[in-house]
Amino acid sequence: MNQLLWKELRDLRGWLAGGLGLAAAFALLLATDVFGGSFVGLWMQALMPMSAAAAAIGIGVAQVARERHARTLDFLLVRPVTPQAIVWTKFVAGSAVLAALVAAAVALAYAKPQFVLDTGLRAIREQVSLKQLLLILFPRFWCLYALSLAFSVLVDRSLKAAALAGVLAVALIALAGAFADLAPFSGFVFWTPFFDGTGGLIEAARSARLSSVTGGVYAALALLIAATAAGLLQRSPERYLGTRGLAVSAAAIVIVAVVSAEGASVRLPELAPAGVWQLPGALTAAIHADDVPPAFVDESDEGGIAAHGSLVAVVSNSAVRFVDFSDPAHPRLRSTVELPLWQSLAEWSVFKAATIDDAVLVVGQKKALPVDEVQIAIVHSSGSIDAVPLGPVRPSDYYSVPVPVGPLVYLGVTHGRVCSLRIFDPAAHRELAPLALDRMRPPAKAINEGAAPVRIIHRGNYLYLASPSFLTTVDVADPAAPRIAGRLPVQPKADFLYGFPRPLGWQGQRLFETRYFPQSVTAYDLSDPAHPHPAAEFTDHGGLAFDGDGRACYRPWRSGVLEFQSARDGFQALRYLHSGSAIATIALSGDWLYALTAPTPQKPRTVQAFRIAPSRGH
Amino acid sequence: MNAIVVENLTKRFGRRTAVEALSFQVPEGSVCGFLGRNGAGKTTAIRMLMNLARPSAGRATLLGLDSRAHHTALMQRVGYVSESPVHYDGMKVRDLVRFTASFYRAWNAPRVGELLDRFAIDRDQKVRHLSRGSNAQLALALALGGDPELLILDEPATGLDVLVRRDFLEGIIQLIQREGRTVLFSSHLLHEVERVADQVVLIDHGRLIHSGSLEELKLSMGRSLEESFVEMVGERARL
Repeated sequence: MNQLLWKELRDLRGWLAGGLGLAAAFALLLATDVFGGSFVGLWMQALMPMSAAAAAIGIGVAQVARERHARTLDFLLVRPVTPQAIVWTKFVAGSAVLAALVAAAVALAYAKPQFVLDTGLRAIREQVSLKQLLLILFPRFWCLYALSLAFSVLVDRSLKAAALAGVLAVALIALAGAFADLAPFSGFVFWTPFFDGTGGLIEAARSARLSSVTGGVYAALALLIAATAAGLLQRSPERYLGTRGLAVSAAAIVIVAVVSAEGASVRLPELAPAGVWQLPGALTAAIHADDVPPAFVDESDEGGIAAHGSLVAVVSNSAVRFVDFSDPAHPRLRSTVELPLWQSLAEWSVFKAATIDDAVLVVGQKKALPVDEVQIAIVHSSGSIDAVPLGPVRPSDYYSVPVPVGPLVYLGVTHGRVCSLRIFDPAAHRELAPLALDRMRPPAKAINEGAAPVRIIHRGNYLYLASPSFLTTVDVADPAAPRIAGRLPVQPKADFLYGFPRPLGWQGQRLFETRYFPQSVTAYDLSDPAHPHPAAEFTDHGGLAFDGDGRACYRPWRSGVLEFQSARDGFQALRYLHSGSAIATIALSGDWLYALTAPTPQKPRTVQAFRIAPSRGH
Repeated sequence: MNAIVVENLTKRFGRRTAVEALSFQVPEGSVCGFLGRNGAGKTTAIRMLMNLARPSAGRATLLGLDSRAHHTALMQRVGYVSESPVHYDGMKVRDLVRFTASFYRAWNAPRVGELLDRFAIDRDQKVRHLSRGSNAQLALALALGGDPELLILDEPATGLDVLVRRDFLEGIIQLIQREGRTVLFSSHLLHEVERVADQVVLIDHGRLIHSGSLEELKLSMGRSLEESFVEMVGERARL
């Protein structure tokens, strides 16, 4: 073996032995069940990327700077070998050691397949092989290593190079977060070197195209940076950056990161609310500490809103408030109806309420003996309350958003591993014959599938229902005699995701179904509304849920709501409905969007009205 | 034919000029003393010759080749020992010799072995355990391993005791010169230079004071090298 390469590998043996030793120790601890299964999730999502980044930086920064400081670099430079060859040899040795360390770090998560509690990690392992994950991850850390090596050429102390690389790494991570936040629907998430919750890395690993494109670009960058480092040492063996130069470079990195984030942010037209109504809340002064600001204690920490015309029903666990937005600039509380012993049901950002004329239909559970009961409460603004009983509360049952069509109300229900569509006539206080939609397969061992949701959305004469095995179309042209018009089998992305919620939305001729791990959207073509067929599947990294009114789609985003529409191969952001606060739920009615702000200790909750028509994309 | 040709060699560190427009030649086969006070710029100039420092201006030609453009080719033919040689101290002497030899097309292993024996350096000893003197001797042995046509030594006698220094300067340098090779060695110990050098280059504050034959210098000044140096440097200081 080339003596110089052997020397470089010898110099890195501490990293190799330490890293592999640490991995072996963790593997042993995993095998002996010392940690809970959650450790693997913690390792994969936080510790592994940090360890790999630390190794990439640690190996790279010392290779030239330490030799320059110790003056052993002079020993090499007065031998018949080019400075470029010295750097390339170091690069080869460093890359080999880094590859071994990254492989060991990633392999830990695959060491004991049956021992993972974390669902996100389970999804990763079911969908991405160790080899795929290594192929996608290594080029990213390789690039960071090459940058560290280049910094090592620029300075005369490992610590200085490490400081510069650290500033760069932090700037890049901040940049990744900023890009993901500021540029909705961008493909930036495919380029991250860590699991950021959007599933971008998993999707990139699964796709041969994304894997080769991102991996290829990172690898090419790594080689380019190494070539630059070699060229720099060839040009001059002296350090390029003193302490002042180092400070200027670090500042430049931060400035470039900030400017890049600004440049990458999507500049959207903003829309301000036309009217704001503040929920009553008690302002409490801090008693024990003067420096703690006053906090709002809001009675409606849960709940949401539903709208019909200009009437907005604000639902909490204890009351429904009807707010009249017919003069949006001066909304007024029309009535408050108390809901004693009541708890509304909600899951994620889906609020289970709908409106008919001046009444709101809310799915919830009411305290009762011997067991609590699930009901659809029909609350009229006049103060009267009707209830449609649905049955006793059972943890494995699921109830969807109620969907009123004509005089009837439809509800997706899962009970005893059977999903069905239940139909009610509230005026007549009777229930029609249900439609069986989906008989779920027996539960998988060691996987708690929970209550499988049935998501439901109404468009024209059809209801579309997402249940664990199917996307079902129900014709409600004759509301009293609904019939199943079509049924599309759905294959979950991973076995254990069977029964995972798949929110639905629609816009124009497209029905959207959000899927998870990695997060994506399947778009169905509705040109034949009875028989939707899959038209495209694309990445959805803007959030988990969306509401559509047929003209555009909406989702809570930053301090407001993002308005977007479907484009050919994804989504396109249109407007930013700027609320000034995070949004909990939204409701659409005609040309208006109503947004209920999320509870915070600092601000009272409000309902804000945005006039959304016409928007740019309409 | 000159083994070393230096033309307007300049090195600035920020606003400080360490070497300024230095020009001189060293004929082939000569032993040239490169003289100057501490901090005169000798080491900086030598580091530029060895391409360990990038000149701010000017150029140097060694053995007819540009020192920067043909650095790698030149290093097959030029040996160098720095003021305080640093080696990979985790290696054993034997491993370091093998490692160094791997860079050269032709490696004179018998000569290196002979020098290690002459300096009584244990081949199985770790470099970090060598004394300062042994370390300098090891550096010299390694520099001679490639059979260099030109040997550049930066204060080679520093850290050596009197006996070794005498052996080093008179024995080794004359041995090398007998083989028709050129030696440039820097020093501030003028009486030692006077014993072995036939050429001298004198610099002060990074500038050339004198370059040429040592004999001619002594004849023209009518004094010893040391007295001549004091007079020239003192005159400059007065100016």
